Amino acid sequence: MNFSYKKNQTHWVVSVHKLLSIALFWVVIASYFSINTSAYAALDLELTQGVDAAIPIAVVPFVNEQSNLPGQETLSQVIRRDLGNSGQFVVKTANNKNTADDLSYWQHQKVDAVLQGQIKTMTDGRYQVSFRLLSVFNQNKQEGNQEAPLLAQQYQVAQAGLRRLAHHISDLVYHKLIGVRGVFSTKVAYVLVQPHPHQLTEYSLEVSDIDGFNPHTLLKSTQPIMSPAWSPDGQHIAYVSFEGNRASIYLQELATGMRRQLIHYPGVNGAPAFSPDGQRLAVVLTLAGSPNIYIYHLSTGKLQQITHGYSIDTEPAWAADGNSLVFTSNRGGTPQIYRYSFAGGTIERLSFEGNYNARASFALGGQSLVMMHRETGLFGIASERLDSGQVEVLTQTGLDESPSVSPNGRMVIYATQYGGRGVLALVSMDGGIKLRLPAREGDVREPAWSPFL
Amino acid sequence: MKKVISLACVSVLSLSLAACSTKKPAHVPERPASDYEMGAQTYALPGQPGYQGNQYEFYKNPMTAPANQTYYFAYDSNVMRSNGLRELKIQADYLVTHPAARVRLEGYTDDRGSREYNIGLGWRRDQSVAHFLEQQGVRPQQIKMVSYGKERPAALGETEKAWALNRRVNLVYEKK
Repeated sequence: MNFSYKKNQTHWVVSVHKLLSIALFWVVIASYFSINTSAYAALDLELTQGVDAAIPIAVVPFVNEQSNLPGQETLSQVIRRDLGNSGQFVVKTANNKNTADDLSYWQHQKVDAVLQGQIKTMTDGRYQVSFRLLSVFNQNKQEGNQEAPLLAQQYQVAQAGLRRLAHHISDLVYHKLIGVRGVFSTKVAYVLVQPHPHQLTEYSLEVSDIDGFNPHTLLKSTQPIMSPAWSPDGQHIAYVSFEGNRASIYLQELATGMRRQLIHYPGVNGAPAFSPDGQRLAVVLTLAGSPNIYIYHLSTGKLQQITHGYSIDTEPAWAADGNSLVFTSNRGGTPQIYRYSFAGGTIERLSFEGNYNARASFALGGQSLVMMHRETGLFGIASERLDSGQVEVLTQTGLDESPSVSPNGRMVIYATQYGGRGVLALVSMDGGIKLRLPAREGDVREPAWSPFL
Repeated sequence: MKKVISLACVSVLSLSLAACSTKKPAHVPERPASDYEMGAQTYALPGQPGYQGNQYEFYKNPMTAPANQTYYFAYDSNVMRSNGLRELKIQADYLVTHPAARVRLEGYTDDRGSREYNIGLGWRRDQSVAHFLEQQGVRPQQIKMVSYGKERPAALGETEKAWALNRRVNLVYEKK
């Protein structure tokens, strides 16, 4: 199945208007997939807003490619979808092979670069995939079409690995043209809630690719599941489960599905967060009577209380250097963000705008915080620059919660409501790119973006 | 098929709760896992007289004991109000005269706010009810507390009524 972009024969005037019609196109395509490929994508990604300064790029069908990726897509289709959904590219293609290979044609179409490739079936049934990314504006034209490509790679991969390879190529192209590491190969953990009439509600902890494909269930339960947290090596997920009518923190190994009930003191056991070196887990316990932050040392089992007192302290998130963590506390009256520094054991307040700030984490290489934020009565997601304290609201529907930052620090995934259902959504740190990721059924919540895998 | 079996288990839960929850195998979804093995067990939740999900009226607490209770709170508050205290005191008196009896307090909030922060607010409500019970002479070891925050709402929707129905502590008698 190869979708032709006949509209793209003429040069696009990139505007929000046109990008909305692209979004509509993708919504139609996504709903087509929901009918035919429900086995492969539990979440449907829809771009709802892209940047005005998107880079025009051509991604042409790879020679000999087939619709044999999960979801019945071709390799180049997945790459086109990745780059288009990043909101930072306007992606064009051409079905006619002569056109596809003609760099002067693409120059006329005013694209910046062309991605082309080919696939050969090897004797053992695997595929040899090669691609190259060509700049349209190359200097050494005197040798005809012999420009040095921006990128050129070759891989051998089984059919089962084709989709992952497509995401990897998207990552390489993104990195080359944008200068930032791509997140197309990352995953998201989330909680899926499916109420059943006259039966117990079903809670699931799932992990899927960041584009919504390839979902896997890690846990099914009739009791709530909360706060999934990835280990820095991507091998484990910690989460809160209410099995047995009590809160416990479990640690589950992804490759095997084996888990242990790691932290289960009386009372609250909540908000697990791995330190960047993977050696410690920040958790919330009520051992001293009120919810406070504790550090649990994974190798020794040693527990260290780092906040004290009557307030509600919760939602710890580590700085990348592991020397401090931010957390939510109502010690000042309403929930605000504070930072605990391990060096001196000092605590300082970081948020001062709005009467409710919670669930903060670091973004943009530690320059900013992203948090759940309320002003004028509406809950939304906001960023705050740590040097200036300047707050920018990224989204504010009144129902936005649980933000989680991408490992390249550029994108935020969060939970919200749309059409009366719990959905996930993404927004870029500058607020310019927005996507929605509704589940095929049930309500999705509490996303946790994986590290680079 | 497994879903049908588990449905049958749930529907006769009043008769054979223990059997359902201990004999159930690990719940394996239909799709084979290529990257990950499937997660662990599901646990049947015994039905709890005294509250139901999606009930849209305030629960009328019985004046007999032992009887599960639902006690309600005002917005952003864990202050005990007089409405319902009489019924709660009846449970406290029962617990005092039956020192082997155990209760579990489940604290909840309405659906506004951050999930883990709301666990803390639900905890505060548990503490208020526990404090009241202890003032009546109930021993702390008879009381177990868990906070669900805004999980497991009793009522859905962004309305004052739904919010009021969710700001609660359930008092549930536990089998020894």
